[in-house]
Amino acid sequence: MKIVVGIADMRVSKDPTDTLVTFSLGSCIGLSVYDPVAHVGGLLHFMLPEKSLDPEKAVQKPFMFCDTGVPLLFKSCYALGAQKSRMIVKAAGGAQILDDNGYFNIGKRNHMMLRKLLWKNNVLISAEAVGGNVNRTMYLDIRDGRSWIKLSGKDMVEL
Amino acid sequence: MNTMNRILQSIQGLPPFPDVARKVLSILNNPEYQVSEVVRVIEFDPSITAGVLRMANSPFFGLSRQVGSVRQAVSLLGQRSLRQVIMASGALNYFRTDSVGYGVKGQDLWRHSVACAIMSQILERRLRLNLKVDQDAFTVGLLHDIGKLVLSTFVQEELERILFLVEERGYSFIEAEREIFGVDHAELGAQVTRKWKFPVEIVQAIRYHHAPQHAETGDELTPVIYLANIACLLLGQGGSGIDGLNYRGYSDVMHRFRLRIRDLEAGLIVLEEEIRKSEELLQAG
Repeated sequence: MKIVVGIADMRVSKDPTDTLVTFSLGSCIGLSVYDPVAHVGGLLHFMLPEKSLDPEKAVQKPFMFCDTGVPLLFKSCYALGAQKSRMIVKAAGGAQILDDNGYFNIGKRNHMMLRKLLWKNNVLISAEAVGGNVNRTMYLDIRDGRSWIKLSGKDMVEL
Repeated sequence: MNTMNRILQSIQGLPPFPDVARKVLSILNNPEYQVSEVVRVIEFDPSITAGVLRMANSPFFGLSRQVGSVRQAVSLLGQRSLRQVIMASGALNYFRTDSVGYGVKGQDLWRHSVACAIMSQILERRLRLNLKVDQDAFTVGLLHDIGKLVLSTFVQEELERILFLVEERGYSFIEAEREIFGVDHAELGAQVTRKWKFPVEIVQAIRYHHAPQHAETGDELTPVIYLANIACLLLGQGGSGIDGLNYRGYSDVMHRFRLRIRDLEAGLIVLEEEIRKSEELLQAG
């Protein structure tokens, strides 16, 4: 089944017939994680780097922020039998408008926060399609753990 | 006929803005308007009627009970919300066709337009602007990309050259349009809305929605629409066309309103929330 992950949302699955998909990432980041032994995967679509921006909102909607959403993504996968050491982690999004001064750089801030958080927790990103000026749609196939990226007007490519 | 003239000519192909919408808006300009008069005019147009009935029930407008008739909608919605429902009902019909050149479905361009209308209101509130009734930011949001409907076919013909300029030469998408056609979707949107006799402030805001530095001193509508559009692009509410996020950021606009990046991020949080409340508006029906 195709399961849509909305903005500021997250889904996990261990059903091999499921594909998780999140549409139209702009400066937001889509993060997919997958344990190839337990065949458990999850997809997060976070909007902003830090919960400090709106702590109350972070309680209601933890998937809106990188620093609250990412830990929950991992924990939700552990609950289905995944193990941290086996997790394959991929990221997409973090796009930007054309902006020499970096003033509108939410995409970059999201990406930096993600890298910092994963690095602190000894997690490596195995592949990413981040930055640039494009909208991305990201898929995670629970059957084989492969992640795919689709850009407007282009063919789907594996990440 | 050269391409630019062909493009300008093709504006004629766009159906006129619904008369009924225009009539209602002019009635609403009088704060003492009669409900029965507004109802009578709306019911004359089945597609506006259907739009009003559906959209008035959106939680976005915050009515406490379900609206089942045009009369109820007109009596319960305030003047401002009523204008917005009428504008949205009138604008919606233009987004029934896909803009193939931009690689965007009509439904998605409509969603982008509504999102931009919503965001412009969020900014208007946050910045405590006091725009006049006929400078309605919501209307500009709904119509700012109407020029894409005109230019789409031509973009399709020249897509390769446009993408070359964008991807290899560092042009923004709209700069590439102007380079190749001599005119861009923002200018075309201005021409269309001028032809529809929209107030000059609205026409100007559409013309400069990617070039706020050209807005006149004192014009607050243009920079608000510019920022609203950028916010939508960042949040992935840009319609996901082939133009993507290839538009320029002008930090002067942020300085002008004393906004920091965190303010824009806070704006995105509100936008996400309001979008979730607005499904009846966002759906093309």
